[in-house]
Amino acid sequence: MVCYLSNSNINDKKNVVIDYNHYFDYTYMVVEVEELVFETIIINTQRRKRMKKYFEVNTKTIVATALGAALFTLLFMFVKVPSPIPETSFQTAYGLSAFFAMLFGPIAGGLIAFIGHGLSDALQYGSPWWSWVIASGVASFIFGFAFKTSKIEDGEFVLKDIIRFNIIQVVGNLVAWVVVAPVLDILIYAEPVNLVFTQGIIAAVMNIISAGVIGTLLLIAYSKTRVKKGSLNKND
Amino acid sequence: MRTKLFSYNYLDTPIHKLSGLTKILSFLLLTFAVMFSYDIRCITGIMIFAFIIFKMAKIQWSQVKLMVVYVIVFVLTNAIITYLFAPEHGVELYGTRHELIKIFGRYTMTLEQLFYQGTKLVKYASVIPFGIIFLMTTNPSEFAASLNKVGVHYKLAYPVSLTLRYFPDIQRNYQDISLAQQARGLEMSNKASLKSRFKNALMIIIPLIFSTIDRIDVISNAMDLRGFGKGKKRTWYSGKKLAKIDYIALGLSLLIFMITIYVSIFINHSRFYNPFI
Repeated sequence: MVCYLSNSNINDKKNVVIDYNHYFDYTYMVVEVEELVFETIIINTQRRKRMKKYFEVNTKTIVATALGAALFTLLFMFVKVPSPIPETSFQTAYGLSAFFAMLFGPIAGGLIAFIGHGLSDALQYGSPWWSWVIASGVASFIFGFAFKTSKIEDGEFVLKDIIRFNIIQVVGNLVAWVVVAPVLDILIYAEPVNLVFTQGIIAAVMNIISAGVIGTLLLIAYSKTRVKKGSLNKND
Repeated sequence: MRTKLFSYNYLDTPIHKLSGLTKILSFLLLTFAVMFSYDIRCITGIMIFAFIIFKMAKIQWSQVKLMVVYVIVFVLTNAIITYLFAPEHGVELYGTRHELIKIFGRYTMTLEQLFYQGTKLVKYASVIPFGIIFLMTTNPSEFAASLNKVGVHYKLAYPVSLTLRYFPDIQRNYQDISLAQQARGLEMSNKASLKSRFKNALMIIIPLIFSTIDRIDVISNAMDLRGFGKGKKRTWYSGKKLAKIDYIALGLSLLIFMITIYVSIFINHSRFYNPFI
């Protein structure tokens, strides 16, 4: 089977050696694939049954962190709307990090924003602006506290959940941009006090809108794609 | 969008030969030294050092042109708004006042303010070459190995390397979806209004995010089935052993770091170098 697949990639058809052995392998392969699928199903159901914990790190959290951070970097660099105030812009990336934090918890959320912001800063400016990178991580870490009580995997995302998510999101943004970022700016970079607090408040407002609008829209869209719990019933 | 972001390619220079561990430690030591110190003499020294390393790494100007433009715009706007918000910050920091010219109202140009903003400018300028050198000369897959060696747990180092691995993929996905949506009539150019462009950007992001969520399932299942995360440690295929040149580089960075801290604590008695007293 493997031999057959690799040969099919070669453009020059003359060189393809037809190996009839793969017909014999085929039944064996099917069994193996079935086993693989079965094992995957077991893993997924086990994951679903397990109680949600805030700080658990499993393979899924790690992969979600990695791909989330890659998405964050992309959005942070290319999908933003510049604002009239210099050095601030409306970042769609915080909607994404709020969405991922809700689905995968605070650790994934915090790391997504930390790695994503750090990487995009490094790519654009050569060196990360540490105080804001840390503040990004803190904000998205706090977004993750909506994770445990949500039943979004079962397709449940009603008004109550929307309100809870938004309250947590507002708290997270305020803590990060009005407290953490300006204080770190003063400690690390000795920036003027009134400047950093003004920038912090502007950033907080814009990121609250971003996480609130884009995050909520994404969550609603996601909950619609999930199969509702108890939606299958026995036909009698 | 078409900019090549990770233009890492191997060149035969001493900087490329250093292990990732050395590079990350030196990067941290030197940037922390620059971040900590407000002594223009130390920072200028480090900046000269940075440019020597930059030359040694044989980085082409065309590779970093875009980045430099971004940085200059950032640094200049930062300087202007710093002055607009706090024209007396230098006076507050250094405690003396040498007025040069009066512009209007509370905006006067003082020697202290010029010195403070000049120091800040040099500070930003001297960190940036290190970041560029680090990005351009480090193999992305070696980066995770070196993070792990610094003491970061592998469950934290692994996402970093996965991010670097999947960033180009996601970028390509984004382009594909964007082109597909434009083919269906989604206006993304300047012709559309800002509001509809924003809405159209969402129409690209949503399929991108949902396809990524599916991909997360596939990748994490594949990793689970191969037993990822069962052991307490892991080894790295691209990890390098430290050679003599690594110890020299580490020693040099440590020396610069120590000198900066020493000057700040024992000579200036604060983070700021004050020529006005």
